[in-house]
Amino acid sequence: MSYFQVRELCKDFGYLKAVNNVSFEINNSETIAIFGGNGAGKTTLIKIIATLLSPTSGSIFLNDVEIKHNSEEMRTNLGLISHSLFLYSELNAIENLRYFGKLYRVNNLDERINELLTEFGLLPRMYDSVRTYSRGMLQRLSIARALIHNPKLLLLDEPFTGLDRSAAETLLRHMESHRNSGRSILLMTHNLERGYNAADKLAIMSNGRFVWESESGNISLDDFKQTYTEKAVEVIG
Amino acid sequence: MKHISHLATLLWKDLLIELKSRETIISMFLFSVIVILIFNFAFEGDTKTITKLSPGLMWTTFLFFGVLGLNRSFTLEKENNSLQGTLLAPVDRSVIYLSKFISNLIFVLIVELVSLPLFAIFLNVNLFAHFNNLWPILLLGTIGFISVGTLFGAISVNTKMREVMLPLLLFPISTPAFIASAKCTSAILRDRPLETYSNWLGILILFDVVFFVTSFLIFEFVVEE
Repeated sequence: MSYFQVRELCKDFGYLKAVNNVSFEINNSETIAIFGGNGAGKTTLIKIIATLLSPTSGSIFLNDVEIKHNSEEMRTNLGLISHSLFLYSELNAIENLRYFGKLYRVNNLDERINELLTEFGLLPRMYDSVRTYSRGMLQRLSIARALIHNPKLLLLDEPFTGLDRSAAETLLRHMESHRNSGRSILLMTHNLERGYNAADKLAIMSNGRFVWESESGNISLDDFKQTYTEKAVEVIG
Repeated sequence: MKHISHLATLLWKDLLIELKSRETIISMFLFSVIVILIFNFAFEGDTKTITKLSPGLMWTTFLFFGVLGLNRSFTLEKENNSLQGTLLAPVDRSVIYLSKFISNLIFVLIVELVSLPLFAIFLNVNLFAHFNNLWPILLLGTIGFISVGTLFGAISVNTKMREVMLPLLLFPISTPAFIASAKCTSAILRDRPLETYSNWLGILILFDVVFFVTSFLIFEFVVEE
Protein backbone atom coordinates (compact mmCIF):
# COMPACT_ATOMS: atom_id res chain seq x y z
CA MET A 1 0.00 0.00 0.00
CA SER A 2 1.35 3.45 -0.90
CA TYR A 3 2.09 6.02 1.75
CA PHE A 4 0.04 8.67 -0.01
CA GLN A 5 -2.79 8.20 -2.51
CA VAL A 6 -4.96 10.54 -4.54
CA ARG A 7 -8.05 8.90 -6.04
CA GLU A 8 -10.24 10.38 -8.77
CA LEU A 9 -9.83 13.91 -7.47
CA CYS A 10 -11.96 16.65 -9.04
CA LYS A 11 -12.30 20.34 -8.30
CA ASP A 12 -14.81 22.50 -10.15
CA PHE A 13 -15.03 26.27 -10.03
CA GLY A 14 -18.43 26.76 -11.62
CA TYR A 15 -18.16 25.42 -15.16
CA LEU A 16 -14.35 25.22 -14.97
CA LYS A 17 -12.86 21.84 -14.11
CA ALA A 18 -9.60 22.96 -12.47
CA VAL A 19 -8.73 19.39 -11.45
CA ASN A 20 -10.37 16.63 -13.46
CA ASN A 21 -10.26 13.03 -12.26
CA VAL A 22 -6.64 12.98 -11.08
CA SER A 23 -5.27 9.82 -9.44
CA PHE A 24 -1.73 9.00 -8.38
CA GLU A 25 0.22 7.58 -5.47
CA ILE A 26 3.51 8.26 -3.78
CA ASN A 27 5.51 5.65 -1.90
CA ASN A 28 8.03 6.30 0.82
CA SER A 29 11.39 7.66 -0.45
CA GLU A 30 9.74 8.63 -3.72
CA THR A 31 9.61 11.92 -5.61
CA ILE A 32 6.91 12.60 -8.14
CA ALA A 33 7.17 15.65 -10.39
CA ILE A 34 4.07 17.07 -12.02
CA PHE A 35 4.70 19.38 -14.97
CA GLY A 36 2.30 21.70 -16.68
CA GLY A 37 1.90 25.18 -18.06
CA ASN A 38 0.05 28.08 -16.47
CA GLY A 39 -3.55 27.18 -15.67
CA ALA A 40 -2.94 23.43 -15.90
CA GLY A 41 -4.34 22.94 -12.38
CA LYS A 42 -1.10 22.24 -10.50
CA THR A 43 -1.59 24.85 -7.77
CA THR A 44 -5.24 23.88 -7.26
CA LEU A 45 -4.18 20.26 -6.88
CA ILE A 46 -1.49 21.14 -4.35
CA LYS A 47 -3.93 23.31 -2.38
CA ILE A 48 -6.39 20.42 -2.15
CA ILE A 49 -3.64 18.09 -0.94
CA ALA A 50 -2.52 20.74 1.58
CA THR A 51 -6.14 20.86 2.89
CA LEU A 52 -6.49 24.54 1.94
CA LEU A 53 -9.24 23.66 -0.55
CA SER A 54 -11.93 20.98 -0.45
CA PRO A 55 -12.24 18.78 -3.51
CA THR A 56 -15.55 18.61 -5.37
CA SER A 57 -15.18 14.82 -5.41
CA GLY A 58 -12.54 12.16 -4.95
CA SER A 59 -10.42 11.30 -1.97
CA ILE A 60 -6.93 11.55 -0.56
CA PHE A 61 -5.42 8.91 1.70
CA LEU A 62 -2.43 9.20 3.98
CA ASN A 63 -1.28 5.88 5.42
CA ASP A 64 -4.64 4.41 4.40
CA VAL A 65 -6.64 7.03 6.32
CA GLU A 66 -8.80 9.39 4.29
CA ILE A 67 -7.68 12.92 5.11
CA LYS A 68 -11.15 14.45 5.21
CA HIS A 69 -11.61 12.45 8.41
CA ASN A 70 -8.32 13.66 9.84
CA SER A 71 -7.07 16.79 8.12
CA GLU A 72 -5.03 17.88 11.15
CA GLU A 73 -3.04 14.64 10.94
CA MET A 74 -2.43 15.35 7.25
CA ARG A 75 -1.22 18.87 8.02
CA THR A 76 1.14 17.55 10.70
CA ASN A 77 2.78 15.37 8.07
CA LEU A 78 3.19 17.82 5.24
CA GLY A 79 5.25 20.88 4.48
CA LEU A 80 4.46 23.26 1.63
CA ILE A 81 6.98 25.38 -0.23
CA SER A 82 5.30 27.66 -2.71
CA HIS A 83 5.75 31.04 -4.38
CA SER A 84 3.72 32.47 -1.48
CA LEU A 85 6.04 33.04 1.46
CA PHE A 86 3.65 32.44 4.41
CA LEU A 87 5.80 34.70 6.62
CA TYR A 88 5.00 37.63 8.91
CA SER A 89 6.91 40.72 7.74
CA GLU A 90 6.87 42.42 11.15
CA LEU A 91 8.61 39.48 12.83
CA ASN A 92 12.24 38.46 12.48
CA ALA A 93 13.45 35.07 11.23
CA ILE A 94 13.63 33.48 14.69
CA GLU A 95 10.17 34.73 15.67
CA ASN A 96 8.65 33.45 12.43
CA LEU A 97 10.23 30.02 12.84
CA ARG A 98 9.35 29.89 16.54
CA TYR A 99 5.73 30.74 15.72
CA PHE A 100 5.36 27.99 13.12
CA GLY A 101 7.46 25.54 15.17
CA LYS A 102 5.14 25.99 18.15
CA LEU A 103 2.07 25.45 15.97
CA TYR A 104 3.60 22.15 14.81
CA ARG A 105 4.68 21.43 18.42
CA VAL A 106 8.29 20.75 17.40
CA ASN A 107 10.53 19.26 20.09
CA ASN A 108 13.87 20.98 20.79
CA LEU A 109 12.61 23.97 18.82
CA ASP A 110 15.52 26.33 19.52
CA GLU A 111 17.98 23.71 18.32
CA ARG A 112 15.95 23.09 15.17
CA ILE A 113 15.66 26.83 14.44
CA ASN A 114 19.40 27.26 14.82
CA GLU A 115 20.05 24.28 12.53
CA LEU A 116 17.80 25.64 9.77
CA LEU A 117 19.06 29.22 10.01
CA THR A 118 22.62 27.96 9.71
CA GLU A 119 21.78 25.70 6.78
CA PHE A 120 20.00 28.43 4.84
CA GLY A 121 22.61 31.10 5.64
CA LEU A 122 20.27 33.33 7.60
CA LEU A 123 22.10 33.33 10.92
CA PRO A 124 23.74 36.79 10.45
CA ARG A 125 20.31 38.41 9.81
CA MET A 126 18.21 36.34 12.23
CA TYR A 127 17.24 39.32 14.43
CA ASP A 128 16.28 41.59 11.52
CA SER A 129 12.68 42.12 10.57
CA VAL A 130 11.74 39.92 7.63
CA ARG A 131 10.50 43.10 5.89
CA THR A 132 14.16 44.07 5.28
CA TYR A 133 15.08 40.77 3.57
CA SER A 134 15.85 40.36 -0.13
CA ARG A 135 13.59 38.12 -2.24
CA GLY A 136 16.16 35.31 -2.12
CA MET A 137 16.45 35.50 1.68
CA LEU A 138 12.67 35.47 2.02
CA GLN A 139 12.49 32.36 -0.15
CA ARG A 140 15.17 30.65 1.95
CA LEU A 141 13.34 31.51 5.18
CA SER A 142 10.10 30.29 3.65
CA ILE A 143 11.77 26.94 2.88
CA ALA A 144 13.09 26.77 6.47
CA ARG A 145 9.53 27.43 7.69
CA ALA A 146 8.18 24.53 5.64
CA LEU A 147 10.88 22.20 6.97
CA ILE A 148 10.67 23.22 10.63
CA HIS A 149 8.69 20.10 11.60
CA ASN A 150 10.53 17.64 9.35
CA PRO A 151 7.43 16.83 7.28
CA LYS A 152 7.00 13.31 5.91
CA LEU A 153 5.54 14.62 2.66
CA LEU A 154 7.05 17.73 1.13
CA LEU A 155 4.89 19.64 -1.35
CA LEU A 156 6.81 21.95 -3.65
CA ASP A 157 4.95 24.37 -5.89
CA GLU A 158 7.41 26.06 -8.26
CA PRO A 159 10.03 26.08 -5.49
CA PHE A 160 12.92 27.35 -7.62
CA THR A 161 11.18 30.61 -8.58
CA GLY A 162 13.13 33.55 -7.11
CA LEU A 163 15.86 31.37 -5.62
CA ASP A 164 19.49 32.28 -6.20
CA ARG A 165 21.87 29.53 -7.30
CA SER A 166 23.19 28.66 -3.84
CA ALA A 167 19.69 28.57 -2.30
CA ALA A 168 18.48 26.36 -5.16
CA GLU A 169 21.39 24.00 -4.50
CA THR A 170 20.60 23.96 -0.77
CA LEU A 171 16.99 23.10 -1.60
CA LEU A 172 18.04 20.31 -3.97
CA ARG A 173 20.36 18.94 -1.27
CA HIS A 174 17.48 19.04 1.17
CA MET A 175 15.20 17.25 -1.27
CA GLU A 176 17.83 14.55 -1.69
CA SER A 177 18.31 14.02 2.05
CA HIS A 178 14.54 14.17 2.54
CA ARG A 179 14.09 11.32 0.08
CA ASN A 180 17.03 9.35 1.46
CA SER A 181 15.51 9.46 4.93
CA GLY A 182 12.44 7.58 3.64
CA ARG A 183 10.17 10.56 3.10
CA SER A 184 8.30 11.62 -0.02
CA ILE A 185 8.16 14.67 -2.26
CA LEU A 186 5.51 16.02 -4.60
CA LEU A 187 7.00 18.62 -6.92
CA MET A 188 4.98 20.89 -9.21
CA THR A 189 7.08 22.75 -11.73
CA HIS A 190 7.49 23.86 -15.30
CA ASN A 191 11.26 23.64 -15.01
CA LEU A 192 11.64 20.41 -17.02
CA GLU A 193 15.32 19.76 -16.37
CA ARG A 194 15.28 20.25 -12.60
CA GLY A 195 12.04 18.33 -12.20
CA TYR A 196 13.25 15.45 -14.38
CA ASN A 197 16.53 15.16 -12.46
CA ALA A 198 14.85 15.24 -9.06
CA ALA A 199 11.95 12.84 -9.67
CA ASP A 200 11.34 9.10 -9.74
CA LYS A 201 7.97 9.51 -11.45
CA LEU A 202 6.92 12.14 -13.98
CA ALA A 203 3.47 13.36 -14.93
CA ILE A 204 2.23 16.05 -17.29
CA MET A 205 -0.90 17.94 -16.36
CA SER A 206 -3.02 19.86 -18.83
CA ASN A 207 -6.50 21.37 -18.41
CA GLY A 208 -6.79 19.77 -14.97
CA ARG A 209 -5.99 16.21 -16.14
CA PHE A 210 -2.96 13.97 -16.11
CA VAL A 211 -2.28 13.55 -19.84
CA TRP A 212 0.93 11.55 -19.52
CA GLU A 213 2.76 9.58 -16.79
CA SER A 214 6.00 7.62 -16.66
CA GLU A 215 8.85 6.46 -14.43
CA SER A 216 11.78 8.84 -15.00
CA GLY A 217 14.07 5.87 -15.72
CA ASN A 218 11.96 4.91 -18.73
CA ILE A 219 12.54 8.09 -20.72
CA SER A 220 15.53 10.30 -21.55
CA LEU A 221 15.45 14.02 -20.79
CA ASP A 222 15.38 14.91 -24.48
CA ASP A 223 12.46 12.57 -25.16
CA PHE A 224 10.67 13.91 -22.12
CA LYS A 225 11.10 17.48 -23.37
CA GLN A 226 9.66 16.42 -26.70
CA THR A 227 6.73 14.69 -25.00
CA TYR A 228 6.08 17.74 -22.85
CA THR A 229 5.93 19.99 -25.90
CA GLU A 230 3.37 17.68 -27.47
CA LYS A 231 1.23 17.05 -24.41
CA ALA A 232 1.17 20.26 -22.37
CA VAL A 233 -1.31 22.78 -23.62
CA GLU A 234 -0.66 26.29 -22.40
CA VAL A 235 -3.79 27.98 -21.12
CA ILE A 236 -3.56 31.73 -21.36
CA GLY A 237 -5.86 33.54 -18.96
CA MET B 1 -4.08 21.08 26.09
CA LYS B 2 -3.04 21.18 22.42
CA HIS B 3 -5.69 23.82 21.69
CA ILE B 4 -4.59 25.96 24.61
CA SER B 5 -0.98 25.80 23.48
CA HIS B 6 -2.02 26.76 19.93
CA LEU B 7 -4.21 29.58 21.23
CA ALA B 8 -1.30 30.94 23.31
CA THR B 9 1.04 30.80 20.28
CA LEU B 10 -1.46 32.55 17.99
CA LEU B 11 -2.08 35.26 20.59
CA TRP B 12 1.65 35.68 21.22
CA LYS B 13 2.15 36.30 17.49
CA ASP B 14 -0.64 38.92 17.26
CA LEU B 15 0.47 40.75 20.40
CA LEU B 16 4.15 40.67 19.37
CA ILE B 17 3.34 42.12 15.95
CA GLU B 18 1.28 44.89 17.56
CA LEU B 19 4.01 45.55 20.13
CA LYS B 20 6.53 45.95 17.31
CA SER B 21 4.43 47.96 14.86
CA ARG B 22 1.89 49.68 17.21
CA GLU B 23 -0.08 50.37 14.03
CA THR B 24 -3.47 49.06 15.12
CA ILE B 25 -3.75 50.71 18.53
CA ILE B 26 -2.23 54.04 17.47
CA SER B 27 -4.40 54.38 14.36
CA MET B 28 -7.55 53.50 16.32
CA PHE B 29 -6.66 55.95 19.09
CA LEU B 30 -5.89 58.82 16.70
CA PHE B 31 -9.17 58.19 14.91
CA SER B 32 -11.05 58.29 18.21
CA VAL B 33 -9.35 61.57 19.25
CA ILE B 34 -10.28 63.18 15.93
CA VAL B 35 -13.91 62.05 16.16
CA ILE B 36 -14.25 63.24 19.77
CA LEU B 37 -12.80 66.64 18.84
CA ILE B 38 -15.19 66.95 15.90
CA PHE B 39 -18.16 66.11 18.15
CA ASN B 40 -16.89 68.62 20.71
CA PHE B 41 -16.79 71.44 18.17
CA ALA B 42 -20.06 70.40 16.56
CA PHE B 43 -22.01 70.53 19.85
CA GLU B 44 -20.08 73.35 21.46
CA GLY B 45 -21.89 74.75 24.47
CA ASP B 46 -25.00 72.66 24.04
CA THR B 47 -24.60 70.58 27.22
CA LYS B 48 -28.14 69.24 27.17
CA THR B 49 -27.81 67.84 23.65
CA ILE B 50 -24.35 66.41 24.37
CA THR B 51 -25.59 64.57 27.50
CA LYS B 52 -28.50 63.17 25.54
CA LEU B 53 -26.41 62.08 22.57
CA SER B 54 -23.21 61.02 24.33
CA PRO B 55 -23.99 57.25 24.55
CA GLY B 56 -24.72 57.13 20.81
CA LEU B 57 -21.67 59.25 19.99
CA MET B 58 -19.51 57.03 22.16
CA TRP B 59 -20.66 53.77 20.58
CA THR B 60 -20.47 55.21 17.06
CA THR B 61 -16.85 56.14 17.73
CA PHE B 62 -16.11 52.67 19.15
CA LEU B 63 -17.69 50.96 16.17
CA PHE B 64 -15.80 53.13 13.66
CA PHE B 65 -12.36 52.70 15.18
CA GLY B 66 -13.15 49.03 15.79
CA VAL B 67 -13.55 48.63 12.02
CA LEU B 68 -10.09 50.14 11.53
CA GLY B 69 -8.62 47.57 13.94
CA LEU B 70 -10.49 44.65 12.39
CA ASN B 71 -9.39 45.62 8.89
CA ARG B 72 -5.78 45.91 10.00
CA SER B 73 -5.96 42.57 11.79
CA PHE B 74 -6.68 40.64 8.60
CA THR B 75 -4.73 42.84 6.15
CA LEU B 76 -1.69 41.81 8.13
CA GLU B 77 -2.58 38.16 7.55
CA LYS B 78 -3.04 38.76 3.83
CA GLU B 79 0.51 40.03 3.35
CA ASN B 80 2.72 37.12 2.17
CA ASN B 81 -0.38 34.90 2.50
CA SER B 82 0.67 34.33 6.11
CA LEU B 83 -2.85 33.27 7.15
CA GLN B 84 -2.51 30.35 4.74
CA GLY B 85 0.76 29.46 6.47
CA THR B 86 -1.16 29.25 9.74
CA LEU B 87 -3.96 27.27 8.06
CA LEU B 88 -1.37 24.77 6.83
CA ALA B 89 -0.40 23.98 10.42
CA PRO B 90 -2.33 21.36 12.41
CA VAL B 91 -4.38 23.96 14.22
CA ASP B 92 -8.14 23.79 14.64
CA ARG B 93 -9.67 26.63 12.58
CA SER B 94 -11.93 27.58 15.50
CA VAL B 95 -8.83 28.19 17.64
CA ILE B 96 -7.59 30.60 14.97
CA TYR B 97 -10.94 32.43 15.18
CA LEU B 98 -10.75 32.50 18.97
CA SER B 99 -7.23 33.96 18.92
CA LYS B 100 -8.19 36.65 16.41
CA PHE B 101 -11.31 37.45 18.43
CA ILE B 102 -9.32 37.78 21.68
CA SER B 103 -6.53 39.90 20.17
CA ASN B 104 -9.04 42.21 18.43
CA LEU B 105 -11.02 42.47 21.66
CA ILE B 106 -7.89 43.38 23.64
CA PHE B 107 -6.83 46.09 21.15
CA VAL B 108 -10.30 47.64 20.93
CA LEU B 109 -10.86 47.55 24.70
CA ILE B 110 -7.49 49.24 25.30
CA VAL B 111 -8.42 52.08 22.94
CA GLU B 112 -11.92 52.34 24.46
CA LEU B 113 -10.45 52.66 27.96
CA VAL B 114 -7.93 55.27 26.81
CA SER B 115 -10.69 57.19 24.96
CA LEU B 116 -13.05 57.33 27.93
CA PRO B 117 -11.23 60.20 29.70
CA LEU B 118 -11.37 62.16 26.43
CA PHE B 119 -15.11 61.60 26.20
CA ALA B 120 -15.44 62.71 29.82
CA ILE B 121 -13.41 65.88 29.21
CA PHE B 122 -14.58 66.97 25.78
CA LEU B 123 -18.22 65.88 25.94
CA ASN B 124 -18.53 66.83 29.60
CA VAL B 125 -19.99 63.46 30.61
CA ASN B 126 -19.25 62.05 34.05
CA LEU B 127 -18.32 58.54 32.93
CA PHE B 128 -16.12 57.67 35.87
CA ALA B 129 -18.82 58.09 38.50
CA HIS B 130 -20.72 55.37 36.66
CA PHE B 131 -17.76 53.22 35.70
CA ASN B 132 -18.76 50.28 37.95
CA ASN B 133 -21.99 49.85 36.00
CA LEU B 134 -20.55 50.97 32.70
CA TRP B 135 -17.65 48.55 32.25
CA PRO B 136 -19.81 45.40 31.83
CA ILE B 137 -21.72 47.20 29.04
CA LEU B 138 -18.46 48.26 27.40
CA LEU B 139 -17.26 44.68 27.53
CA LEU B 140 -20.51 43.11 26.28
CA GLY B 141 -21.02 45.67 23.50
CA THR B 142 -17.44 45.27 22.32
CA ILE B 143 -17.67 41.47 22.44
CA GLY B 144 -20.79 41.76 20.26
CA PHE B 145 -19.32 43.67 17.36
CA ILE B 146 -15.86 42.09 17.60
CA SER B 147 -17.27 38.54 17.42
CA VAL B 148 -19.13 39.36 14.18
CA GLY B 149 -16.38 41.69 12.96
CA THR B 150 -13.70 39.01 13.27
CA LEU B 151 -15.73 36.69 11.07
CA PHE B 152 -16.52 39.40 8.53
CA GLY B 153 -12.89 40.58 8.59
CA ALA B 154 -11.87 37.09 7.44
CA ILE B 155 -14.51 37.20 4.68
CA SER B 156 -13.80 40.71 3.44
CA VAL B 157 -10.00 40.35 3.38
CA ASN B 158 -10.33 38.15 0.30
CA THR B 159 -12.48 40.66 -1.56
CA LYS B 160 -11.17 43.45 -3.78
CA MET B 161 -12.80 46.28 -1.80
CA ARG B 162 -11.99 44.92 1.65
CA GLU B 163 -11.90 48.34 3.42
CA VAL B 164 -15.44 49.06 2.20
CA MET B 165 -16.75 45.51 2.46
CA LEU B 166 -16.15 45.08 6.20
CA PRO B 167 -18.30 48.04 7.35
CA LEU B 168 -20.94 47.14 4.76
CA LEU B 169 -21.22 43.67 6.28
CA LEU B 170 -20.60 44.57 9.91
CA PHE B 171 -22.75 47.65 10.52
CA PRO B 172 -26.17 46.21 9.62
CA ILE B 173 -25.60 42.97 11.51
CA SER B 174 -24.18 44.60 14.63
CA THR B 175 -26.95 47.21 14.83
CA PRO B 176 -28.90 45.35 17.59
CA ALA B 177 -25.76 45.14 19.76
CA PHE B 178 -24.96 48.76 19.01
CA ILE B 179 -28.46 50.02 19.92
CA ALA B 180 -28.64 47.86 23.04
CA SER B 181 -25.21 49.09 24.19
CA ALA B 182 -26.17 52.73 23.63
CA LYS B 183 -29.53 52.28 25.46
CA CYS B 184 -27.82 50.60 28.45
CA THR B 185 -25.11 53.28 28.54
CA SER B 186 -27.73 56.01 28.38
CA ALA B 187 -29.70 54.50 31.28
CA ILE B 188 -26.55 54.12 33.39
CA LEU B 189 -25.44 57.71 32.77
CA ARG B 190 -28.89 58.90 33.86
CA ASP B 191 -28.67 56.87 37.08
CA ARG B 192 -31.61 54.68 36.09
CA PRO B 193 -31.97 51.35 37.95
CA LEU B 194 -31.07 48.06 36.26
CA GLU B 195 -34.75 47.12 35.78
CA THR B 196 -35.21 49.98 33.33
CA TYR B 197 -32.60 48.67 30.92
CA SER B 198 -32.59 44.94 31.72
CA ASN B 199 -34.41 44.17 28.44
CA TRP B 200 -31.68 45.89 26.43
CA LEU B 201 -29.06 44.12 28.51
CA GLY B 202 -30.78 40.81 27.73
CA ILE B 203 -30.72 41.59 24.00
CA LEU B 204 -27.04 42.45 24.23
CA ILE B 205 -26.14 39.20 26.04
CA LEU B 206 -28.24 37.17 23.61
CA PHE B 207 -26.59 38.86 20.63
CA ASP B 208 -23.13 38.11 22.05
CA VAL B 209 -23.88 34.45 22.69
CA VAL B 210 -25.60 33.82 19.34
CA PHE B 211 -23.06 35.62 17.18
CA PHE B 212 -19.99 34.43 19.04
CA VAL B 213 -21.06 30.78 18.83
CA THR B 214 -22.15 31.10 15.18
CA SER B 215 -18.93 32.85 14.14
CA PHE B 216 -16.83 30.33 16.08
CA LEU B 217 -18.55 27.45 14.28
CA ILE B 218 -18.54 28.80 10.72
CA PHE B 219 -15.07 30.40 10.67
CA GLU B 220 -13.64 27.13 9.34
CA PHE B 221 -15.74 27.42 6.15
CA VAL B 222 -15.00 31.10 5.73
CA VAL B 223 -11.21 30.72 5.66
CA GLU B 224 -11.29 27.96 3.10
CA GLU B 225 -10.57 29.39 -0.34
